[in-house]
Amino acid sequence: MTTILELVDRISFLAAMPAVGAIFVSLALLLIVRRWQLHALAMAIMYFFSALLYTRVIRPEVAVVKLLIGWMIALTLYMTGRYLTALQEGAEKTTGEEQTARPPRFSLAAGAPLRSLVLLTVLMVALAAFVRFPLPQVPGDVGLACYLLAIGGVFLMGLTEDPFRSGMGLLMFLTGFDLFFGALEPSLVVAGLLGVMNFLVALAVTFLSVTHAAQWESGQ
Amino acid sequence: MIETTGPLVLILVPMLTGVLAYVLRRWRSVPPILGASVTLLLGLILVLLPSGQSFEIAGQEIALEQSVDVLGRALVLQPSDRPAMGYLFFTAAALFLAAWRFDRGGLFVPMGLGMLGLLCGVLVVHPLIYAVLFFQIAVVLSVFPLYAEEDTPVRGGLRYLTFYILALPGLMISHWLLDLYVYSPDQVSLLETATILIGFSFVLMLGLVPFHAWVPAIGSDGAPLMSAFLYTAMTGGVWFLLFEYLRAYPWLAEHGEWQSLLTVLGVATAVVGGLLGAVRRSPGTLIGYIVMVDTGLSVVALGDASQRSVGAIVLLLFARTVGAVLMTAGLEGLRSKRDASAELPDGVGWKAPWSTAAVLIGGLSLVGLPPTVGFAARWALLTTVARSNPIIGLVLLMASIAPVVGLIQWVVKLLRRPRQLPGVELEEAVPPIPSVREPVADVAVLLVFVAATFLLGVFPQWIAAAADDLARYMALF
Repeated sequence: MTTILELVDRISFLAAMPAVGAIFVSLALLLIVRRWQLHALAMAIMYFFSALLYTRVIRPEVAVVKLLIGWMIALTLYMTGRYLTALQEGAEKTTGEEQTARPPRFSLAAGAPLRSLVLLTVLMVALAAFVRFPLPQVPGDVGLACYLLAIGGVFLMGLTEDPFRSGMGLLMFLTGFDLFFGALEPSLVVAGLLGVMNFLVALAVTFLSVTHAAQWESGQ
Repeated sequence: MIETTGPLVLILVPMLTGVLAYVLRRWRSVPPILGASVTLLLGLILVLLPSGQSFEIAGQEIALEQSVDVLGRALVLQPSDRPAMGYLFFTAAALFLAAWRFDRGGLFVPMGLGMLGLLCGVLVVHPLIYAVLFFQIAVVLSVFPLYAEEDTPVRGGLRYLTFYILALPGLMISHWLLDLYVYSPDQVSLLETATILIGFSFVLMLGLVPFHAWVPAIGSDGAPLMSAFLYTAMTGGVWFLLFEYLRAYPWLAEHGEWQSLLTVLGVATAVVGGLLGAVRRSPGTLIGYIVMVDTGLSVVALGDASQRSVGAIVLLLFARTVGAVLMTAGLEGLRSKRDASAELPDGVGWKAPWSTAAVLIGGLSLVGLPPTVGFAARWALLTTVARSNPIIGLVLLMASIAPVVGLIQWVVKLLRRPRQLPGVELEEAVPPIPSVREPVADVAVLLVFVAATFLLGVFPQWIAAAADDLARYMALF
């Protein structure tokens, strides 16, 4: 029977520039597309490829634990998105508003051209930072991924005051930092505490999103 | 007899009480009373038990000063930690007592106790990297009770969380840089980078201009008592963490730009807080701006780099607790049985005179007017600053009293009778002032804090001695 570690070993060829590319794609999904299902999927992809990159800087077992925490966070976000949609639909029915047309499956967020520009800016800033201030103790591609995640997260936070989307930026920023810091401080206790913090932040984001939606609903 | 190590007890007891309080939250009065009793007891033990002496509970001897290793990390209670922890426990006890009558969410006490345990961990755990992680976990937990009441905007909580998470990398990475510096002391650039990272992180966490957006926002939309917890215990935690950093890395204060940089940041924060506080009529936001003024004053005083200034900063922190608890409890009293986000109607002050008085006295104490406890603390800080630079002292004095204008405007609104529309009969034109119940127990709790505000204002030496002790034990400068 194939163990998880053997599986990780088999796909380790992805733990380089392909992973950085996948992280960029997930960032693009988060920034440009407006469907929450795709946001949750993008987070799951981001956590998967971040975990692959983790295997380059920390023990694979720890990387697997990080992946599990990440997927739990993505699942939490998926359930939150679902709950928020149900809440919004319920509010629309109660107020007798005509149901707005459901956006097509891969519809773009309002201001998609601007958001595409933002994505390009994130890429440029990350590349510039990577060249000008290369991160110590981590391989080059991991450093670039850290910059992409952290800068992308900050931009995502700055683009909206909606707790759900802004919270995903927060989680993305934390993942970028965690990836870098894992190489600097290999202590299991630190890795564990950062994992706990990541999960608590995800719960806080969920909580804020639901409270925000309830307030919006009562405002209706 | 089994000997148990002390610092661990100070972390675990609040946390376990928090779990118990959560289980018992069905009985609304039990968690606050339990929380207040336990924290008061722990605070008294810390303050009254002579240093080095152990005590016994259920056959177990507890030696507070004994160091203990947990997963290879040392937990040590240093002499300066005693007054700091005492402050945290007494602040929590006061807030939990207020929560007994005024908390509506039900999460404040259990979460507050958990956060208190983590804050105690921040003070005793070494190395500092773990203290930072404990603190950040406490910050994340604080979001839940802040919005335990539904239907409130969450902008403040989101900003608070964001700014603190952004502060995390600087503190963590600087720790690694400083470890590296020990092995290669010729690389001065490591020190410079670490200084910038640490400085930037604390600017974010203290809410200095231009990163102050979260400070008034949590007062504006957060639950009042939890906001007070953040403005007192959590902000106190940030200051204590900063003192720990200054103690661990004394060269931070020896930086050539130390005083000028702190003066610019502090004055800007105090002036912005004072000006905006003067024009805001929302009481929660007003507390936030007053806290900004306090922080600005404290940062300028820290630039003075003296034991006296540290004592004055701590005294202001101690004094802020009384005013913040009184003002937020009064505010909750005014809002009783009303939608949390709704604006208070004109004239409601006449229906709830005790709560209105509490808000007014608490606000005056926060602003620092005599004979309240806030006056003694602000005066100590302003004289410290004015001694080295009288012009800055004058600017800070004006910034410091400016929020009084906002406070008075808001109290006038509370006491203003609803206006009659011209040409309409009285009964139809004037909306009735909604009634607000003020039970005897609520009034009694408010009176306890009013008495504390004036008593400590007349005898500030009671808390000034503790503040001086903390500054002396810290021995920062």
